[in-house]
Amino acid sequence: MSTTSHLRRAVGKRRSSSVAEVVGELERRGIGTKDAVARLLPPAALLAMVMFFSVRADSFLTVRNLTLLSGDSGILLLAALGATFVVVMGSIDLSVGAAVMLTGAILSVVISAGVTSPLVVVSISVAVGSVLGLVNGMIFAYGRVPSFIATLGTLSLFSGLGLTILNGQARMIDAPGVQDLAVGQLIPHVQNPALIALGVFVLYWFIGSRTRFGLYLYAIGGNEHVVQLSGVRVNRYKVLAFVASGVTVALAGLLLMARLSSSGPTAGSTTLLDALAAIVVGGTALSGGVGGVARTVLGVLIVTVLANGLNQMGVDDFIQSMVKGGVIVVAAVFTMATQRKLIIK
Amino acid sequence: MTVERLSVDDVGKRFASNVALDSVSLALKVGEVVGLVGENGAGKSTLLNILSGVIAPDSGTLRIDGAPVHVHSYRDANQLGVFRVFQDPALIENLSVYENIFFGWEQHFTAGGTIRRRRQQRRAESVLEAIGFGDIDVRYPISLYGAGSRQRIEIARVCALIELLEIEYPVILFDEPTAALDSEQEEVFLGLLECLRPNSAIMFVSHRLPEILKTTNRILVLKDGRTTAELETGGATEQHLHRLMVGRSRTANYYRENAQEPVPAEAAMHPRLGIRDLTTLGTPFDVGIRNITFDIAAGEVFGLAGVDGSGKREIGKAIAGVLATADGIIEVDGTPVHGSSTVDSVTAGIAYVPADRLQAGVVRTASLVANLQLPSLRDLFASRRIGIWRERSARARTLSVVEELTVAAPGGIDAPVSSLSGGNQQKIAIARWTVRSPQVVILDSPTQGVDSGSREAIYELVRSLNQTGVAVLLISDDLPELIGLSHRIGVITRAELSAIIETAPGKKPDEAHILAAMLAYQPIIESAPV
Repeated sequence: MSTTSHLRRAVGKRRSSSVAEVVGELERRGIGTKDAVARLLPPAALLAMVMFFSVRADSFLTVRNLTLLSGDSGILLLAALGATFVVVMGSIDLSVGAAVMLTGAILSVVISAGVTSPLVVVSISVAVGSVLGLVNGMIFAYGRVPSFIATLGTLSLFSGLGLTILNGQARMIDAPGVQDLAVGQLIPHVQNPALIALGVFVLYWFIGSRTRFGLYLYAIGGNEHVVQLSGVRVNRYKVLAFVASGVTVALAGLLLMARLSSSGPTAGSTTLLDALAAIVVGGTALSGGVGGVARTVLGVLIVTVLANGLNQMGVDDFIQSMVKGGVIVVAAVFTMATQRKLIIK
Repeated sequence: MTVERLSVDDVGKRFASNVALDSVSLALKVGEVVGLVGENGAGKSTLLNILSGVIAPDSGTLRIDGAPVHVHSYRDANQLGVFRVFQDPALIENLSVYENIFFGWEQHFTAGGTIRRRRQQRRAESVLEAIGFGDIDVRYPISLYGAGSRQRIEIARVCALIELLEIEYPVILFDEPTAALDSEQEEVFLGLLECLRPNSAIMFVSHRLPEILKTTNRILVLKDGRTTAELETGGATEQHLHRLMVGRSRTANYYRENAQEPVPAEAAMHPRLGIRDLTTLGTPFDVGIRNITFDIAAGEVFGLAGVDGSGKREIGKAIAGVLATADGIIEVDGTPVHGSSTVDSVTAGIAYVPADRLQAGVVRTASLVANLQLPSLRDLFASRRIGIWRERSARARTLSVVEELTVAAPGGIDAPVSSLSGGNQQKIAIARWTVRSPQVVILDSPTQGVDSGSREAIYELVRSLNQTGVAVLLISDDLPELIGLSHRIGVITRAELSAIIETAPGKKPDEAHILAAMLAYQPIIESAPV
């Protein structure tokens, strides 16, 4: 149901001048066509892809493959959840991939040192993620550096640190409890990462849509100047958004390591692109202020189904990379076109 | 009740070398509406900014209920019971109406760390209903509302906060609250003002003098940062106020009136610049202009007068191709300008010097040479085909400009423009266009924030442009300057050209005459584009 028809009914009921004004404005902008396209395109694309791959690849719609898909989606969703907050604020976090690798490196060292309790390892990864997010957030907010520069710097910093810890080599872990977090199935045929991600998603959805922090994120993405004038501690919320991003990214790092039973220099190499693709494809505008974690769930499904389906069809990696890039560009054009400002803070 | 809720003694404020406010004192009492009038740039906004905590005064004291206070932010002011309806509504577009109304005060609606949206929404609805703006649906984002509704939402925000913070006797500063309202909405607002009056101390700033005369108890007149009169409203008339608002000394010599030559009849037959039915679509951020038609002859200065928000600046922007036009024709020497971008207008020989010097007039970090050559790097100071820079000619021209316009450039022509004073920066901003020998020069507020010495140089420049047959469009808030320099003045009210006043040498009208035309208030038709 489009927004316009909903409003039309409202006008019919109330016949008030300013609702007519709202409808007029919607029509002038071509919302109802374009906005509806932007809203309906992600679910439609997902449906079309599922149908296409089901027909073209026999192995796609199998219990085994869908189980695998749940694990992939869970890990990517975790990486993208916090980053969505950052994007809603009108900024960007380019360090997510490097943070996944660094978290894995640190955790593998911790585990080798004999810490194997899943609860403790999870707590440590949350702490590591918070610190990494804090570093990003402080440089961005207090150093007054545009986020894409700040996180480009920390991208290099984090990956250099991670490689130093690993000495450039993969490092095996042996902690069945931790590994079970990634490969176990508390519910049959659903890998645990999907459950964990779902839990964190509910929390982040609640924060984004029901708390003051969430409201301020959207407001900063909309008009930072007004937020500042209203006496809000803008810098505090900016840092918090990056911490929120660091935490989920670190959890993704933990699960990725647990799934592969090792940490390595290439871990997280595709995470940045996949997470940003999921956010943008889902419909959160890079210019900030619109979108949210619920849309990112859809984006994550699109990105993982696309990658999985192409794999099942035997399409090689290089072609996949091109397809993924094309999808991001198209999605960005759709979400940015209605926005006035184009600069990422 | 006659308690002085808010008062200031001898407040002063300077911005660089400009005195914005010079020892102004006033007191606002509960039960009273005080009108504040003055020309553009008289210091009204600065005074309101100080009263509402947006800026701190350089000198003087602010008192609430007689006790001196320090207000560091608008939020501080709110807590002390001082509220302001901003002229340009400070709203966040992507948030809903109710989220905006209570923005920054969510703690009054939180339970267990979450915002009770339903309660916020109901409270916002009840406030809007109570003040007669019940037609606004609080669930929709601000971006879907036009200027009139935004203004009403801004008013509603203040009323809602007064209620939320439980302020018994609020101080409310209304800054042009009716500028974007149509006549019906204005009636509703004036009714609201009456409801607020008994328990509030109100200051009312408006360009609509009939409104001021109808609603206020006292009127304060500001001119050049000083209070020139404080009078009881009873018995005051519009004409009386006009006289009090203007009256700066105008010396013919200052504006080089002796060098102003009448436009020859022949030149008037073949205008340099012809504007036909120029129309732009208004947005919530700038007013549109409607069916603007006028000609400027070679050697003529055409002035544009109008209050803030009348649309006079938009005319300059539209001709320069900065603002997209919806309709109309722009002709230079009888040839229509094709397209509507800055590239097209510069190619057609139109030069535009914007009002906002720092943001749009010059590149402050770049050198004098670089600034001077920037508009001309595609032809004058570079080879046409591949754009190889002609350094020598650019430097020579810069040196000659510096000499002709007596630009005080202690650091030489390679120093950044930011090292110059405001007046000298402005000379460069104008000169970078005049070196192109344009047919048409548009000057928007060319002497704003400029010292008197530089002013003279700029006036001299305008005269010399005239003598070389350039058509000048002068947009200014400074009435003596406008009258002194122009041959004719077009008056813009409510996005339309409402009058053209002859100001040829020897026939100069007085300021009050122009001001009366600027303030002539015709109610606009309902639902007309803003």
